[in-house]
Amino acid sequence: MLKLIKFFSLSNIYKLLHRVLRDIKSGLIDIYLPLFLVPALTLLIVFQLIPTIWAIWYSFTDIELLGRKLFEYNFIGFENYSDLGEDPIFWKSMSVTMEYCIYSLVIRFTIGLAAAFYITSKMRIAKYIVALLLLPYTIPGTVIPYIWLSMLDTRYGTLNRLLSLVGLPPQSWVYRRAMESVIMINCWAGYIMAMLILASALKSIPEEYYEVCEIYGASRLFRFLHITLPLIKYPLILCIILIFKEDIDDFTYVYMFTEGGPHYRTELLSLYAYHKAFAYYELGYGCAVGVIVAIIVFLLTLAQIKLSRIA
Amino acid sequence: MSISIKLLVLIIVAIVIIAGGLYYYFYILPPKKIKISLYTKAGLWADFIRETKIIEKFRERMLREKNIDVEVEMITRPHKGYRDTLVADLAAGTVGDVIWIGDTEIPGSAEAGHLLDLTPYVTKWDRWKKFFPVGKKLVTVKGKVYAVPFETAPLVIFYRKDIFERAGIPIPWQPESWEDIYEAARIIKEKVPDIVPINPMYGIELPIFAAGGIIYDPKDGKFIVKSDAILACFKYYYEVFHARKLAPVELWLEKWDTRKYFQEAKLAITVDGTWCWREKWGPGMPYEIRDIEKVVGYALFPGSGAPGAPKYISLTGAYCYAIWAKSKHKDIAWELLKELVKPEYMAEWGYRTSHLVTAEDAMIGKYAEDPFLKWAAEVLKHSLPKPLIPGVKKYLTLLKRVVIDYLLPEAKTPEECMDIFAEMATKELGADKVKALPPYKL
Repeated sequence: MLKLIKFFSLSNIYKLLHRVLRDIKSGLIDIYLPLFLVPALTLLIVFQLIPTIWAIWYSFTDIELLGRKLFEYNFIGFENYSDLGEDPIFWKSMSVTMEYCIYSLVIRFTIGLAAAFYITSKMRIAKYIVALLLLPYTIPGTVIPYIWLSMLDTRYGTLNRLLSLVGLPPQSWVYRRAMESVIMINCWAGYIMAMLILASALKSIPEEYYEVCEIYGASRLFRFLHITLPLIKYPLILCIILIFKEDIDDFTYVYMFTEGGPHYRTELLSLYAYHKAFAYYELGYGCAVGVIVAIIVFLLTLAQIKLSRIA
Repeated sequence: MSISIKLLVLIIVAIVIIAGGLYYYFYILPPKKIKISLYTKAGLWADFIRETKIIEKFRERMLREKNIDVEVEMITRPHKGYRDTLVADLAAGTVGDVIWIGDTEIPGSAEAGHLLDLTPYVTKWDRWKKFFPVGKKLVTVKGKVYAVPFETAPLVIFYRKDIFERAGIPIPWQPESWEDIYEAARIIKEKVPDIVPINPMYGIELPIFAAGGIIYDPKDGKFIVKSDAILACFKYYYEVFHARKLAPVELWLEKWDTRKYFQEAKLAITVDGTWCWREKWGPGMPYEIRDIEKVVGYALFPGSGAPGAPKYISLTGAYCYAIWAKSKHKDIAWELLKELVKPEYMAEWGYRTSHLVTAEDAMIGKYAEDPFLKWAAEVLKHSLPKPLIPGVKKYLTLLKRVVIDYLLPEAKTPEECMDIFAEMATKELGADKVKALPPYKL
């Protein structure tokens, strides 16, 4: 944090600008090159940076989405954040989010890794299977819960019919197993990212390493532990961070499938922020929850950048 | 040339110039171009406006009457989450000039200054007298009118006549107390197994009013969080789901599609809005019930039977048209609003979706002849407008959460539920905004 503050200090910015101008004058920097960044930067500033700054500002106020306090709000300092600390539903939501992220991570990662091994194998059918495995990626996120709602209906759902075929009792997927259901949906739709990252990492391992192993008669486990794993170590960690980052602010599935129920069992942080802002109209409080999520994502992003540099 | 002739020529020239000017103004002057927008729900709602060509007719009228060429842009938002999207768009200032708005959003939006005060407009409008008082109440905040109601829909009881016949319950059926409802559901449970006897409610709060209670005291501006009526409300659900087991808790916890169940004769009694009659079960609709008049019966929701409780009760809300306070063309927006709520469109929409019209002059054509709609119009006499005060949405959300999170899954007793509700409401609404009615204390 200190480094960050130091980086954005006025003297540092002045020095940086001075250096850039000097380099432009001396012809070391092409003046036209930075211009190409302008469209992307404009979009980033308008649609990312400004709303984020607004959200941070609102999180320090008692603004409400509807009613008098939409315009006549007050600056209340850290009150929203201190209230969060004493809010049992926030902590419940935090623990639910962590549970969701950890289970999703393990399953998405495991399936993704297995699928990556499969599609990079020498089996002839593998390339056809790739197309099949990529299918969930092509379905829009808002459509996925609708597909699954019909699959998971207690009385008419496909899944319970399959269970009854093998003599198992029907499950209450939408209520008693709500968390398991949303994790299942998320994993079904989300294992592909892990599959693609890890498959590209696996493909980058030179074949010669495995040929040497074959010559010396090394077991499959040995090959995995001593060749594959060390060589895909960084993409693997990167993949874990990316999955966690993607899941921590998940919203669509729980919003459309369970609406946070039963009894806050699937009330992820992003959904809690939404409910606070839109169901209770407490925009300031909702923004404070959103800022907490943003801080977690920010820290994970820093870790991701650090890791990318090491890799 | 004498002076009188000169004067005559001068007058003729002046007349010609004035007549020419007037002719130019009214017949040759190109129409002024204006663009306004209409913010409404996508699907059925927007399709109705397109099919009935309301906007085209409005444009013709504006051109004819005011020599204004009005371009109307339709901004549509999905049905699911419409209210949330509207609130966000209002706050962001991205709504249209004319807005399709639910009654629950009116007080907060009016307080935030989003909606134009229509009082000066409606006082000069002859048709306003034709609107039913219940609808007018729903759009009036602190004596000012903020919207014009277009449709309303009270809650009623629907029952499957075929299941009632199998169970041996005489039809037509009109329960006179909650005990009558429990009894009918009990007989169905016994005689026609494998179906759900009853879906006890749409929304949560109606039993409070049916027990003769209120949720808000306008005298001191406080919400009531403990009272006999609130306890009766929790008791009603407790009796249905736990004490008498007349419906499985999964019906609500798993959000079973009650309209579909009813269509498939897997649900015998359901409390729902009048709109279900056509919008859900009507011809060509998703859950069409053939020969609906023969298969489905309807009844009023009775009072609890406790002293002071009403004989029958219903709760009604309304969807309305309002004008955005920041509209640049308020008068033209008002003209569009007047076009949208014309009696013929109200009646046609009411007939197609079995929503009730909000003005007496709209009870015309097929709408006026429809037996169900005639009966439903009578229900309005027993209907209370939803209490529309800032904070009511939070209050009702908490009430629902107590039923869904505690009463149903954990079988908490009505007394325990009322305590939990009072505690939650005090925390969320503020201790100075809530109170308990005797003999209860906070």
